[in-house]
Amino acid sequence: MDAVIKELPLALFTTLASVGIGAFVTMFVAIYVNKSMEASGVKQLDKLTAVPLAFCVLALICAFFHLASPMHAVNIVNTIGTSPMTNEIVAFCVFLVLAIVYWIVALTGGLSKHGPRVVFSGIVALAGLISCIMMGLAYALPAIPIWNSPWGTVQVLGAMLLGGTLLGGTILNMSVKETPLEGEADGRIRLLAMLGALVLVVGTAVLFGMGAGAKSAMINVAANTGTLIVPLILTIAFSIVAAITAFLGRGAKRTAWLACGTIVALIAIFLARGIFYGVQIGIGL
Amino acid sequence: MAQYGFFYDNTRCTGCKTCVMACKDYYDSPLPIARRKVYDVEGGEWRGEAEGGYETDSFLYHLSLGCQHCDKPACVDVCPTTAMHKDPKDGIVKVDVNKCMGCGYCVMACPYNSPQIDREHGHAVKCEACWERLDEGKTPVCVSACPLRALDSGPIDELKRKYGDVRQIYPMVDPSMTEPNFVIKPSPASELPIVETGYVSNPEEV
Ligand code: SF4
Ligand code: SF4
Repeated sequence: MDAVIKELPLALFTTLASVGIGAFVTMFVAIYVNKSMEASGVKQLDKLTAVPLAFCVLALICAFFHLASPMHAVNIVNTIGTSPMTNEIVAFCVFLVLAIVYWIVALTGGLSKHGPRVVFSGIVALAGLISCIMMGLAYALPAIPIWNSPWGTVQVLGAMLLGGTLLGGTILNMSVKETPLEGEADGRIRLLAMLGALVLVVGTAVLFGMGAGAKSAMINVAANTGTLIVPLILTIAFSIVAAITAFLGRGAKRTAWLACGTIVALIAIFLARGIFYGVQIGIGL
Repeated sequence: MAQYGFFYDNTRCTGCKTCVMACKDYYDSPLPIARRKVYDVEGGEWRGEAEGGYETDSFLYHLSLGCQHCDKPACVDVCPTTAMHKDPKDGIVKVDVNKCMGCGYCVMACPYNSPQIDREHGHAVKCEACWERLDEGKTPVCVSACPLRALDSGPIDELKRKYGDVRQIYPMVDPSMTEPNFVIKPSPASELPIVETGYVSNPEEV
């Protein structure tokens, strides 16, 4: 439990970043599928892109709060490609810069044609996806066997899909008024939300199970598992509820449902990340 | 200069923690920070016998550890700023406080629970074998302070010649993981067949 409290800024960072990134992935999917988005809707979407961007900037601020000397962070230039944490920070910063440039270019009308918009949003989505993978891989440390598995990365990808799809869906639904997320784009959003919930729940449950079965001289595993049971149950319940909201309502009501779903998903993801930090059980001391 | 290391006599240590306190005092460490830690490892149980007596296989021993100044230091491998580095002069693993951003990655990576983040001063801290004292021809503070003379330090080859090559007792990790420059004289308790049922009974202290 101490580990969870100590890593609170990191839990916030990974929660906000994965959801923000996921929204950019969702926007790319919707833009790719929906060739005939009306111009006014696109304009509104570009304005609302500030929301996932704000999530990502907030995430970065949380990450900086975790550091004892943030001013020394420039020294990471020495270890690009060699330290997994540097890779995580650099990948996220590259994504963030691309996302900000995309936003500015889109707002200034530079992406009025469908083709360039698909390409640029695709590049941003890909950079975001890489960033999420790096986020998961940064914790693959031999000294912490549970983390040294693919399940942390699986959890982050699930968070990205669930929270990101709902946040992205919310702003898309608010933007594209005449064809509010219908047909193929809507179908994909529902599918992605369901898939995200499934991946998040499976990843978190496996991490929890590994934590329950761990051997440790330092941590009372039974007591630790006991404190993580309620967060696990809530993660599962909130993930299911969040995914269901992707199927509810039409028009403005649908936007409200998706927005509520985003909030529920944020809670589910934050709890899931808490479980991740809660199973920080070292191999030795 | 040769690779520097530590020796710990597990048969002598009474778990008095003088080494810990001497180190904390010398470096004026904030309350939660300890460059050396003493783990109390205990286990076993008491069982009632049919005749009314009791039988026990309970055990207790202590484990005093700073940093092992590993040949394959996990902390150095992961450090994103290169603040954590192995000094080629003596093989001591040190923190460059002017580079460290206090991310705590070294804390997660070290299987010996050695580095800690000193938020008050804004960087990682860990045992650096009192290298300034070594440069003056003195021994590390913990080695000088131990009233049972359970600690020794010096070039690791010399320590191995003097004390043997045991580098692990429960619950330390397999030395092949980081190749620690540390040798230990195990106590009989630490070699009991049931030792792996034991646990660290003072986790809040370490
Ligand atoms: S004991 Fe830990 S802190 Fe010391 S060198 Fe080895 S890995 Fe690094
Ligand atoms: S806390 Fe400092 S020494 Fe440790 S990994 Fe981070 S930057 Fe390196």
